[in-house]
Amino acid sequence: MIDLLMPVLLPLGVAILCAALGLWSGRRSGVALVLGALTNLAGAFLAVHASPARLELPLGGFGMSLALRLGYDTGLVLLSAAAVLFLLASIPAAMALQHARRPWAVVVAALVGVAALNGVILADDPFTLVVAWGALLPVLFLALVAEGGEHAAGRALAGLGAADLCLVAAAGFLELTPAGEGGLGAVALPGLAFALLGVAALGRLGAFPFQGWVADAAVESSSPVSALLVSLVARLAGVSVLVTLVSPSTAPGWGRLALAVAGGLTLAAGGLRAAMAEDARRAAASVGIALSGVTLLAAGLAGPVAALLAGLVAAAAGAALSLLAGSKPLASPHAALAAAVRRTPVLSGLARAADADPAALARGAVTVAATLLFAVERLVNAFFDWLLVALARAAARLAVRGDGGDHARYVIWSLLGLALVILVFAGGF
Amino acid sequence: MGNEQLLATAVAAPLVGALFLPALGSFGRNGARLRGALALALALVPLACSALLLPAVRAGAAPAVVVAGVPLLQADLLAVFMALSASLLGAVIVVYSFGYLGEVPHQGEYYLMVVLFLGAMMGLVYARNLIVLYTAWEITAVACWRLIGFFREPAYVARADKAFLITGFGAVTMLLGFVAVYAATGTLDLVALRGAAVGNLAVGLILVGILSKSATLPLHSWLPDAGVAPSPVTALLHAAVLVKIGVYVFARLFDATFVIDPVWREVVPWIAGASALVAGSAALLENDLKRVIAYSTVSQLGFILLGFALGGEKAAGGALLFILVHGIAKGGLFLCAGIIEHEAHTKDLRRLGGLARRMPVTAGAFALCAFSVMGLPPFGGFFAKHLVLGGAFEAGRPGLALVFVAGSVLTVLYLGRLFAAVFLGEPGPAVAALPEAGHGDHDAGHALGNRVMVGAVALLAALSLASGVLVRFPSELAEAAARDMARTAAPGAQPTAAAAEEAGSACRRGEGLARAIDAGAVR
Repeated sequence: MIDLLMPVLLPLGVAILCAALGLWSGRRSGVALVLGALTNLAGAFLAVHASPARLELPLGGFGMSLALRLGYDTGLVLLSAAAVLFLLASIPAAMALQHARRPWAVVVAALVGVAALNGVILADDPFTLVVAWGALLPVLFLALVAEGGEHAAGRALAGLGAADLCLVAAAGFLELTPAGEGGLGAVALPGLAFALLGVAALGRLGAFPFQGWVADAAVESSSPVSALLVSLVARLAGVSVLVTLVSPSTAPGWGRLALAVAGGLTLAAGGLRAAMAEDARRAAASVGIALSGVTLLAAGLAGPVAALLAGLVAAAAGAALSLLAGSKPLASPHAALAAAVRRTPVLSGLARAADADPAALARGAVTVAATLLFAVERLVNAFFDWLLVALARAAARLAVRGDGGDHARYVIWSLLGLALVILVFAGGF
Repeated sequence: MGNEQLLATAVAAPLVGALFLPALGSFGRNGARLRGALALALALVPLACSALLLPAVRAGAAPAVVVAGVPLLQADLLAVFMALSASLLGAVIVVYSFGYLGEVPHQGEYYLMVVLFLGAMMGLVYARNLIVLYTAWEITAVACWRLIGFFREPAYVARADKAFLITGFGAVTMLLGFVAVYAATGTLDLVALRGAAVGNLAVGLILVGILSKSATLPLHSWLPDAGVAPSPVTALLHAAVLVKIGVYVFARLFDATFVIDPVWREVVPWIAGASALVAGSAALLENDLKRVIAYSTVSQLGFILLGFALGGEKAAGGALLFILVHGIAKGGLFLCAGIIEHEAHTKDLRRLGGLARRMPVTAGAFALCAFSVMGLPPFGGFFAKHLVLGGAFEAGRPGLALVFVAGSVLTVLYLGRLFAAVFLGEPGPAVAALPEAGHGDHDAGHALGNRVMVGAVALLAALSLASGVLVRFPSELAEAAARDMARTAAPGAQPTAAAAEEAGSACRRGEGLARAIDAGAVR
């Protein structure tokens, strides 16, 4: 049964080895990446041939444990396909590593990321899903920072962090719902839990309204990070949850329609951004966003199998486009199309709207709310400052019968008063 | 050395040893070195003693120190857990101080107050009666007052006074609460008081003291202002020890000792929720590095208070675990802030930026500690927050849990903003003026920041990750402590009113612990 752990442990082991050796050249890091991808494939092979029984790993106190299971359904397909796609993408990515700023950091991040992805696919309870899902965010953030994608890293952390916390809240609801024999995929989701899980999946898929960081990551960081972590690992993690969400036994009636609407919006936003893009990398990332929209449409309109197939195609195409676009700025191949879109008022307006990043609106709303709360805090603070100054002046006058005295004096008086109370009190004691 | 001696040493060694520290500084450079070594040794004594007490306490022993028939100190799992987390952070902070203080004057007073503070903290944690608890509480307030105003500028002294007056006001109110408890039960012995029903007036008065010390809305305003203290002090006060005193006393009195009106379990979580949201909002908008982290502390303390206020094994255990992991991570953040302030000579976020290239180790350590505070897996903060929020869901209060999820969203946003403003982007004016890495007085290899300071933050960052990856060890201890708390305050474990009365009388007559045990009040 320990074979089920191999897709997580093997790439993680190679990543730790790479991190321990550190500071490798681009070529050596490339070899390590391909070896890691092969190890990941071997791990997936072992897991596919493992017993379908549930594996529970106790984590310590409070009954916390990680639960893994690979049923003979979408999970098996996803795990195998993810391993194959990761290997296929790792070969050109390894060659592109020579352009990366810190190749060994990219390799470590990619392997930890794929281990986390495998954890997401194998997760059989909400807690395990949250652990595996959440582990990807710090990895993605650090990889983007290491590769100079600082702006994208900040946007990813803010957008995905907020979306990930929706998953945590959903897990809280799900923990109150017994999973039974069927595992996570057989739970009838309450509406709120479905909505929260849906938001989390949209974040990872880079779908509307979380699409902003994906294109930034493609432009700012190196192509291996964009291809392996953003296009492949993060997107497939989103697909994994999406497939569970739209199972007939889990989704509420309105849920699939909501996903289809989100898919339509994502498709439009991605397509328009791609048409307007002047940089090949931004265009490629925008096509990837549009493909995520197709995945959501497939999930909403046709169910889990269609979502799985569309998601795999989107991940493969997104990774391939990122690698083809390369790491250096390159003029978009469809400059004439971009110019035509720009000349058409309606299309250019829509494209600008799609570029406006609606997540920024959410951030703006949070900022407004925070400003109001901060004003409350300032009022409380000002009140105490006023009160204490008044008290201090009164105490100082009492102490010296004059117009002041140093700050220590009234503190000493206060201490003496306290000591008196203690003495009286201790007498009773 | 027996368990009783270990317990007495854990408290007495730093309290008494601290008094010798100022004298050592007058023996020149060697004296200063000796002073540093002794300060570190005194900070390590409680850590070692508590670690040695742990096996016996886990096995069910409850060693106590009784003087003249009056029980003063007692160790249980809750106390040992708290003592271990506070003294571990205290020791790291003393080491960091060696690098931070450099040639700053008045170091004798500094180390005296820091070690005295740690000793008082141990006294408070291991207190067996309310008088010892109160006395230790006040010693920490005095040490905190001197440490906040350590740099002696008038504005800083005024802020120290503010902290002292707010927490002092809380302490006096709490003392009145203790008087009310004494008037109702006739005893101050915490063991004899187990299971005693305490009136709402007493609970309210004690709660004011707790909220003031744990910097909870509306009595939080002293904490962000106290950021003018030296950075090791802010780490000690804001992250590791001082603010945890309040929540610890909440757990000790209201979870492990008294029986309180259930209405408090309804009200306090909402106070904690309001505190988390308001302070999180303030952190999102502040532009002072240390004030952002201080507001973050106020916000995160809401989670701990939520866990203890909800009660129950899961929520309270999660809160205990969060005390440890938040202390480690937040201590790391404050110490990173200290390195940044030390090198860039500013705390203004608008003048910082691009420091990741200049201090990569500090940036990495900051990121890891921030991830833990945010509650991202696999860091320790994730498991603690998961337990607290899970406890809220289990208690049938999903609305409250969602408020805290919103608080977590704010945490991600303000810590992400802080990291971006300090470490990412183009260098700000204060950073552009810095010397290149490897030049001047700075150690090559760590770019900016001296080796001792960078080593300390790297250790805390590694511990932040380890507390999650190896969550088995702290979580089992926290679970055992939470179970112990629930057991001691459970109705079946309560002494009867008559037994409590008899135990109280015994304590007043000075007949001590043995008599109290005979009366059935001590189990």
